Amino acid sequence: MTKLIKLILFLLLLSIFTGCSTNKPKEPTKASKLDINKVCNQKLSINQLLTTAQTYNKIAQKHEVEFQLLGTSNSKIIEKINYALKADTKQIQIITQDDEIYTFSLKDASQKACIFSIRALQQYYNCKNSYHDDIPGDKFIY
Amino acid sequence: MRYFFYLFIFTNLLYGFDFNTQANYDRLALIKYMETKFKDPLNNIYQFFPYSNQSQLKNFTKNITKDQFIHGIYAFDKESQKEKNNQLVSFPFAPNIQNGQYLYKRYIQQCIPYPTVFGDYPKFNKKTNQIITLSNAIMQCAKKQHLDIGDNGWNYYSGKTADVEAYISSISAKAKNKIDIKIPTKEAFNAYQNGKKEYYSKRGLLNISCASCHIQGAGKKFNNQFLSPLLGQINHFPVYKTSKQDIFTLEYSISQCSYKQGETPHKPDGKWMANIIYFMSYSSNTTPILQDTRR
Repeated sequence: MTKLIKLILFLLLLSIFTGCSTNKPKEPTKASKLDINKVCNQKLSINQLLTTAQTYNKIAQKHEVEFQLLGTSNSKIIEKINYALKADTKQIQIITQDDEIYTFSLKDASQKACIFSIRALQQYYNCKNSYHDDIPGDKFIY
Repeated sequence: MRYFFYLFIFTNLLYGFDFNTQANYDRLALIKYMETKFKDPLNNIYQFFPYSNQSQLKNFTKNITKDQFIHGIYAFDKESQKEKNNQLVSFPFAPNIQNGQYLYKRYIQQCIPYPTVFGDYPKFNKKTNQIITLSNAIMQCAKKQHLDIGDNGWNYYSGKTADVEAYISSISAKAKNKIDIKIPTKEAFNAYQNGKKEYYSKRGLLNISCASCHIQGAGKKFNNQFLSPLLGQINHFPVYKTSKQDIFTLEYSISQCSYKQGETPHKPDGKWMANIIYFMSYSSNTTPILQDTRR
């Protein structure tokens, strides 16, 4: 009986020290602490920027906070970059609702995609508490 | 403050927990804010309109009351009101209402028996624990009957759905109905709170929330257009867009806001959209329904 109690106590202590966070996804908490200037630096290679963009954009899509640029969602920008890499072209094109065409170099586009995916998640986590600041009758003072 | 809290708990124990209490408090606080903001815009320029021109604010109507906000920007801007009155004498979407009446009687009446229900939507469905907006109800009815669903037929943004909504809102406005949204259960209250959180959360490339434009920004200009206040905003949907010469639903306008914010628009039939419309509708509770609003 005492062994059983000891085992339960040990497991309890272990769960407290490990943070009880086995069910939580690791990436979002990491995203809120990331330094965009370092992770999405233009000195990094296109592939590096693209992999970080892809991993974080998937989480942003889950939370419905995905960014878009000129009417094109971030996931489509990533798709276009991937396609351009396979086709060995150096630019991607974005066409707006009003049929205006904008061209971006692959480096610029992948950096933008990286920043958008992380910034979307950072906004999402910041707003969990800060949204009270704008509510009349709550924290908003005028 | 502590005594108020105890009083709140005591009254709730006496009469049962009312899920409308918090939402009502939010609504009254919003009304108070809007009424003080538009009481005397020119004198309150530094408090509420720090980047606006004085010449613009001179054209603003003073002392706007709760029910007048249903006119959107026409409630406070006299010049826009003049333009609107000069544009057309009759409803610009009278043909849409006629078409909506035909479609309603032929297809939708079996699902929504009375057309005076504009103020009752969105509703909370206790069986499915979901919010059902008016567009949802119309689209579900159309799907049941295997009607033509798509860009040219029944869709969430415009077309036949918007026509039926125009007819329902016109009948509800003639019947002098008011917005009457209720929060019956805890799940409905959670949906309201979620909608409120999304409304006030900053998002997208511009890092602005819906509230940045329609609460703090109401009466200011964005893209050379005045921003309408949240209070009384859902009362005049569907709206006629003069640039496209057609009527559009509330879902379309919200998705356009997301587009301008730099965020991927949300699904029109999704939970996010339903929750935010639920919050917006509750904020306009007890205000009358209006038609003939142009953008």
